[in-house]
Amino acid sequence: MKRLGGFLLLLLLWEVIARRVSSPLLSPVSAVLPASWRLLISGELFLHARTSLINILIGFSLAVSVGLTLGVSITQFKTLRSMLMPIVDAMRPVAALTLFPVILVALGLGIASKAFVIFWTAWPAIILNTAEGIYRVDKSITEAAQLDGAGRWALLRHIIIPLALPIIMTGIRIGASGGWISLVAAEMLGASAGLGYAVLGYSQTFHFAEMYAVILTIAVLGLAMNVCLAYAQDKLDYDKEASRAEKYLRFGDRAIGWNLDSVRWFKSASS
Amino acid sequence: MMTMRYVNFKVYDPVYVAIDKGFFAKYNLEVKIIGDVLGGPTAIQAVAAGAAEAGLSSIPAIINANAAGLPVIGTTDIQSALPKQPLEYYYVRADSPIKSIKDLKGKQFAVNLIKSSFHYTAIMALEQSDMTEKDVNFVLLAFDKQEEALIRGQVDVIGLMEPYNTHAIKTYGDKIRLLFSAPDVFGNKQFCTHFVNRVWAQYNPAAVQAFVSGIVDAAVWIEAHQDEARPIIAKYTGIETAFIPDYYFQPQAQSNMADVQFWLDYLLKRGDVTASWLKAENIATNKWNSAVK
Repeated sequence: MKRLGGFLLLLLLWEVIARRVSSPLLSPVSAVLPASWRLLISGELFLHARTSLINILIGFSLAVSVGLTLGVSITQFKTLRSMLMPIVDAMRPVAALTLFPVILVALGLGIASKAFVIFWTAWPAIILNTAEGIYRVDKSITEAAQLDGAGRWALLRHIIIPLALPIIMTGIRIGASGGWISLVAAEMLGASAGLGYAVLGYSQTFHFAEMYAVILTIAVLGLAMNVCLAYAQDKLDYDKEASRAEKYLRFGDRAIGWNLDSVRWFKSASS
Repeated sequence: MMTMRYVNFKVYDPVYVAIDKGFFAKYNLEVKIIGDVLGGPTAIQAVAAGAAEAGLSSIPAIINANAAGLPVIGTTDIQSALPKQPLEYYYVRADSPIKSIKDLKGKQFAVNLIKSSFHYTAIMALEQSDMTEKDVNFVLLAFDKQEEALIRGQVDVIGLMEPYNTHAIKTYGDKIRLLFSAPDVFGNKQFCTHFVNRVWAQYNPAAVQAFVSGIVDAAVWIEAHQDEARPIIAKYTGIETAFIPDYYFQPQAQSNMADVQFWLDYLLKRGDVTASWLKAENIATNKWNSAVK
């Protein structure tokens, strides 16, 4: 309810400022909401949102896959880390917009180029948070598990990644936000539909109420995606995972039981 | 010395020549260029928001802006299709099966901006061949990306203006083929003008008059000194001198009111603009151009 109150306050502030400024460039909420409704019932908003969601989902899935794989890999292989991290650090500040000529040549104008722009913005946060999450796992826990005979894969799967998940998920959420931010840039690359494309189109034709309606849609969809990821992050929180695992244990999942019992024991012993 | 701010983007612009050759200074005006923008609509928004006093834009964008209540008005010519200067060129690949506009059905058509003069010219060309804009797939693509996309087969048609046109010809030569140009569709027309903030102009008539006079002087000088103008344009745009063509303007760089009316009628007919109260004199004027009788 408090969150809703915050949004209502923001909308109220928007309305007051827009009325006070009284410029065609800043449409008040009272003009934007009817425009949103018009775009919604005409199906136009759905068409653009569907295109953008496909772009986002492909680009973001790619960023998560690559970011997680590389993030885990660089913590396991020092040579790979030495080779990859300078490249990651050098690439992070390079805006996707500056890479358009390369993207055009390599990927053309189809969905691949848009997905790549979104991927490009999202992946550094995921790789860095994944690595950071793993580095932060208490060494005494991993060493104890190794003494118990856990191999590299078992250690990663049952100890390190579960404990690093909160930080990894934070990286994924930051990456998702980055993906939405680059959406407009992505849809400047030879697009014929999409929310970014619509924002540009309405802006260029001075239909500002419609433009803000599409921006509002981007905000709502970005928020929805973040809420979903936050929910997933909450569910993947270690303590909750542990209590869920106890239920699994009753059904005889001894592998999970072993690692969680070990982790719990070492956590209580170390605290 | 009076001062004003100008929003530019990288095209052949007599404002650069007027600054460089001192034509504005002659009228006691200093014009400060405040930076490149994406295109005319962005320039209009910057001027309407008070970030600058003048800019350049297509006439359709100035019409749309006025319909939306933005106080901008065209002053002087910057882009016109003229007998020596078709201005808008539409290319296909030389090996393309597209031989006429009728063959464009279902094809990918690149335009720099939606509802830009290129977009409207393309739509008019389609209409003349009994098609509509729904018969092709318009793809939003910046000028500098279009020739590469065409050569790689990612789009079927591109629309270029100078200096991208000269660049495409010099770079790809026999690999591209001209399908049509703007005069093939509707003869010679004015496409783009400089504009000023109407409210600012009301309170600063001397500055507007100096701005217009400087541009008129520059346009006249350019037509008589094409080779000398090229390095100046190159200096301000970063475009190689070799890609800068000869350039021509309306007489005395005036706003062609008949052409403004043409664009206004077309946008009203399409329903893109519903402000039927708009008149050509709301969109552009020659009242500050002392060279126009």
